[in-house]
Amino acid sequence: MRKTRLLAALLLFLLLTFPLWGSAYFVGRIFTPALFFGIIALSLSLLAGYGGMVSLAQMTLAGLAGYGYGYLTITLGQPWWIGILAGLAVATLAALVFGLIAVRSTGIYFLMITVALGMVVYALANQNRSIFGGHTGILGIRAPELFGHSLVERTIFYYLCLAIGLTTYGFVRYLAGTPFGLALQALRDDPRRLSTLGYNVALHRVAAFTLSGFLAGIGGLLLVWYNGAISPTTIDLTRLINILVIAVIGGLAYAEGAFLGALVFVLVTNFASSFTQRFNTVIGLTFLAIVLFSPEGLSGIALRLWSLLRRTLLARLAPSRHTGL
Amino acid sequence: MVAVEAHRPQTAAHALELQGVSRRFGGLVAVRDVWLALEPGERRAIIGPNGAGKTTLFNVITGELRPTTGTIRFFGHDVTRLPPHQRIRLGLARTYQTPLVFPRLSVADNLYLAIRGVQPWRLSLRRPRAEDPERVEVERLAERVGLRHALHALAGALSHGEQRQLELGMALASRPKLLLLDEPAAGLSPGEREQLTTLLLALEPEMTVLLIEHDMDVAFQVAQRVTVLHEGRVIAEGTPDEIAMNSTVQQVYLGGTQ
Repeated sequence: MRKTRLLAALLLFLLLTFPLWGSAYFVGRIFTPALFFGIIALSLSLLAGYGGMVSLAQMTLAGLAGYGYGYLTITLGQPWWIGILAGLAVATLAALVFGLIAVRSTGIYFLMITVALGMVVYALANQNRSIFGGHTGILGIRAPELFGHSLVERTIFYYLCLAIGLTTYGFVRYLAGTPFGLALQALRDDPRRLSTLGYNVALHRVAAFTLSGFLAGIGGLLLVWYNGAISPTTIDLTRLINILVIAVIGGLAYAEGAFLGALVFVLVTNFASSFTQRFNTVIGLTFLAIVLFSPEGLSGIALRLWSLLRRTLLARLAPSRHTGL
Repeated sequence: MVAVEAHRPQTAAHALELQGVSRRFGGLVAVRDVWLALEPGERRAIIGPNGAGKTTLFNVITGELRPTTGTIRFFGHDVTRLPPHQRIRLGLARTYQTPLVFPRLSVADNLYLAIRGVQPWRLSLRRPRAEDPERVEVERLAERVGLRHALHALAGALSHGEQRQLELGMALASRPKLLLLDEPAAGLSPGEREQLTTLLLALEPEMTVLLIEHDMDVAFQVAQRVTVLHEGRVIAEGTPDEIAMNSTVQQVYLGGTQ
């Protein structure tokens, strides 16, 4: 336990000091996107890891938050804080509606319904000009400015994403021990049993989906500030699937996995393109390798390595210790 | 017991009342026109050969299955159309033939969920604190079903017998008015059966219990009355002694149905 804490503290220290020793490229173009994609993937980890609901609509929900922000601040010329509230509200409400439609089905059917909902929003965004800006989308979106600094300045934005990433991660971890989170894990294992303990399973699923929409919306706002624009391409089928790929690479059942997966994903997409035209193939192969060799994702591999390392360390230290573990 | 029943005022509601309940699966009638009434505090066993429709009847009572016809009353309240979670909140609890617990959660969390299931704010986003009454209740329940030592073990790591104990604890967690036990002694060792019988006999006297049981020792010790189900129909009802003497029941159990 103490060693795990130590490792976490070390990791946190490295992340906090990263802009001081890391290259601008890595801070701005690798870790920052990994953090906001990680937050969007985290909304899927929450649904899938705790609730057993694998959704493909998380990027759609994130995108809707971006559209909400863009529409309010650019089209309607409102201040940024109204844009933030509107963006989060749109993502949360959309998730509520998606949830009401999708939660009666489970497994692959749930997945297919969420894809269908995602594609409906994509088509709508593509065709509607008055709100979504049609094919071009909404351009010139600006992040909020505080004390004369735009929040998307490289170092500031990195810390913003890190702070929000850590908060959302902590929240999802905290959730596991709450009545809400416990019941969510219980319905993953046996929904029928949960209902004969007095829980309304359908309501609980809708609530979880709504909450995941809020989380995805947070990631979506960061994404749209980073890109400075939003268009239907942001929420097309490939982008929807990318979030699932990220979560699976990292380990669908782990909150850490969302960020780990996002980091690998961003790294591969950035570097594979420099030596091959077919980086989608590389991503696909990475995905396949993970699914085949470690269904628990990179988190599963990391966890096994860590416990192996700890055991060897403990074995070394054991003779000099008097207290048993 | 029989004498007490005779003096009971006619107006008081039954704890559970089934009126002409049937359940059909396509061409198969699993439960056929069952009439059943339990007095509050009554201990009733349902026995019958495999496929008699006992578990289906339980599922209809909890709402996991809708009856094809008939009415179900719970303390005078018509619950026929209510979904399971609402019936549970009215004071119904059950266990399953193969224990259903949440394998990836700890024993304590399983019990905690069962306690919270009948309370408001069951979707709360606040972690329970050590001083919460529910936490104390978890320990009391674990003690009662003999799982105090395993509070932090994963439910999936328990033995079959321990999972049965846990499930019983989960059923008692809601302080039910009516407890449905589906073969609580199945798969238990003789020693565990004895413990179970002791636990069942020590239940609060005002709790109504309906149990399906193949083990006649357990059934006849715990129950004051026995209902015999065969091919979805009630073929006999009476005290354990009456049932043991009943020739129709003997025929059914010896296979002489033709």
